[in-house]
Amino acid sequence: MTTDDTAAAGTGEADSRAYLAQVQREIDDEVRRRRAAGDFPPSFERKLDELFARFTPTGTSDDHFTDALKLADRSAYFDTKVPIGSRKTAKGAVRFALWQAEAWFMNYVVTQLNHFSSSTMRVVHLLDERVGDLERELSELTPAPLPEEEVLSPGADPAPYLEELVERLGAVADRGRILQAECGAGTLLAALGGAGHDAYGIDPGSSAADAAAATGLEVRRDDVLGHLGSVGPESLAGLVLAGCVDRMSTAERRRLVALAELTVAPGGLVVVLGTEPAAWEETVGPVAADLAPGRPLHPDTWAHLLTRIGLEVVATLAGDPASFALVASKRAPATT
Amino acid sequence: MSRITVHQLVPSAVPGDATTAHTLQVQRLLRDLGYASKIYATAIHRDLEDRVRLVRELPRGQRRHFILYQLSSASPLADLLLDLRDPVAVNYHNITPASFFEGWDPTAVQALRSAAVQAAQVGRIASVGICDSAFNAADLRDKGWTSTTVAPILLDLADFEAEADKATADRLARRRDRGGADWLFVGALTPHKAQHRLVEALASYRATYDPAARLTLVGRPVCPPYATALARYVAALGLTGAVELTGGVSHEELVAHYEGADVLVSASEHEGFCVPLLEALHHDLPVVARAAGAVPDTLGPAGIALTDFSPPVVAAAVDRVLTDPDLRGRLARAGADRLVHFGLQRTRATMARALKAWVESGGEGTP
Repeated sequence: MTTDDTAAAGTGEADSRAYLAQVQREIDDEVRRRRAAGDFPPSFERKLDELFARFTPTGTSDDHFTDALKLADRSAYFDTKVPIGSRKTAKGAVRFALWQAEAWFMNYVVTQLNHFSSSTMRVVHLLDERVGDLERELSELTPAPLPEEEVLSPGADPAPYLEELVERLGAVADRGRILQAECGAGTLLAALGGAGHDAYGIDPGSSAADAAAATGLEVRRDDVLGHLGSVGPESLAGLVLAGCVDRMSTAERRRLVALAELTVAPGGLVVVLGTEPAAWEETVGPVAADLAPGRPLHPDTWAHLLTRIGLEVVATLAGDPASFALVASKRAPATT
Repeated sequence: MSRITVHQLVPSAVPGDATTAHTLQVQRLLRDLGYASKIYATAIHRDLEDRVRLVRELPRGQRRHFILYQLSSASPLADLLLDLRDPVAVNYHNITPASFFEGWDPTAVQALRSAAVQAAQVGRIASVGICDSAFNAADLRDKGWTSTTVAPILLDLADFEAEADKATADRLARRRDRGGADWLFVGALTPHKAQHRLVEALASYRATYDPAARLTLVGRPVCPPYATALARYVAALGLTGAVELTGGVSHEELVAHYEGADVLVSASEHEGFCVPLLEALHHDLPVVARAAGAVPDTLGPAGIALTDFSPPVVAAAVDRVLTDPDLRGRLARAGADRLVHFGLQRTRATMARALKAWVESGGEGTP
């Protein structure tokens, strides 16, 4: 039923509520459509939450640490003087009497509190200096990232592995959706969709991905770690990791495999579609190879990383000497 | 035979405060019903000193009075009630759960916890809780009350026929000339009103639908840490020129803001009634609100009440109400019906029934 049809159906409150329910469904459809087109990346909402958390009283971090420290400094002193100023004489006299009666005890307690708070603040300042030193050293150790056009490599071509990947992923497709990160031109997505499987892709932004989305494939503009962080636990039947796996840093790869283990359903598959290191060096050249924050790993190394988090490597497909597809399974819980 | 006396107790009497305005309306109603009635408070704004008395002047031990307590916050009045032998009823306007203020304002947390405890204690001596909304009635029952009834707040929207503040109206008109939709929210800056969610929704809306859109947040910064965080959040998102935090405003300035807005948007996570919804409908503003607390009951089918208040959904909903003339027309007609439903004539009659039933039962029975 269209909105216009509903509007004509009546003017009572029940009709109005039905009409509004229809409008809300249309709003939800609009949001789904725009999310699929990458207008509303899930990582955007998460980043907003993280940003606001920085400003909450318990969420101080980064450059706001200094502000928090100043606030703590200001509140670390307890005033022993009772406010006795008043324009009304009687009230002032009463307050003064209260002050006389209580001041000696208040002074005794508050002096100890002030000792405690000043020593605590000294510790916090020392901690601030140490953290500052650490941050400076860390910034010197971390190389500046390369410009995107120098870092981005096309990633392994899935074409040599299409048939086998579609078959293997299709066998577990009843466990949830299949996600390819990064999906590039969408070759694998199209093959999975053609076989009737529910698959979508994410890509941080490339002309190939834009072209894939234009053909009707569900391709969202998002980064891999951010997107996986917002995917529900054990909600994916299959996770195909491509492109990004060739250039991530060690820390990013550790987070990636942890998120893969978290988001793939029991019995589901994790596929690493990677470039052989030797072939990669030949492709990108020595400058990019030497300066890149991360470089492709051998399939054996990926197998080691995935096995360490409890996945079982079930196949290493070698359809092309320049690449590999490593397939790992997340064990389903044993049934009695 | 002397007249029956129904006095009201209210923690504070302040012009522009919704509970105070309601209390004055109830006094008028009680007098129209033939009862003698005065209002007593622990703190009185000087503009109301001729209409409200200090609670120490409440006549005690002479003859029996009926006491109607306006309950919306912690107050020593609750302890006073426990000592009275007069029949007591409570007009309940809701107490915000303290959990909303945890991590923000320890003083407010303590005050709200005390208020919740007091509400439960007063329930043991009060014969009935007269609640603004079904949501508030359910809240009182959760606090152990057995006798509740619903009578909406007495709201005189004729007050909004006042002339808008000219300087504010002119400033808003100049702003409108630059193009872009004007979002408005009216309510104190507090964590449970969640104004930061409106900022996020505006960011999403500007990125997708209308890069010149603006948000005006009208309300006093009653929780300073939250207000500070909100201002810094706005700056960090680069929205300083698009989000205005007005602070407290006069009634005439408020009229100007309602008249200068395109849509009222509310992210509030807890509302016992939410008067600004009706004020917006009175100004023919479409409403997009989070479906929280009493909001769905107050708004009815006169606005979009969203269960999913994520920024993209709010942005899409606002875009829809601003660009769909058919929807605007339907909402306006439903809004007019809603204003009749909560109109003073009807709400006075409902409140009168509740009060008369209580008094005629001798202060013992259930309305």
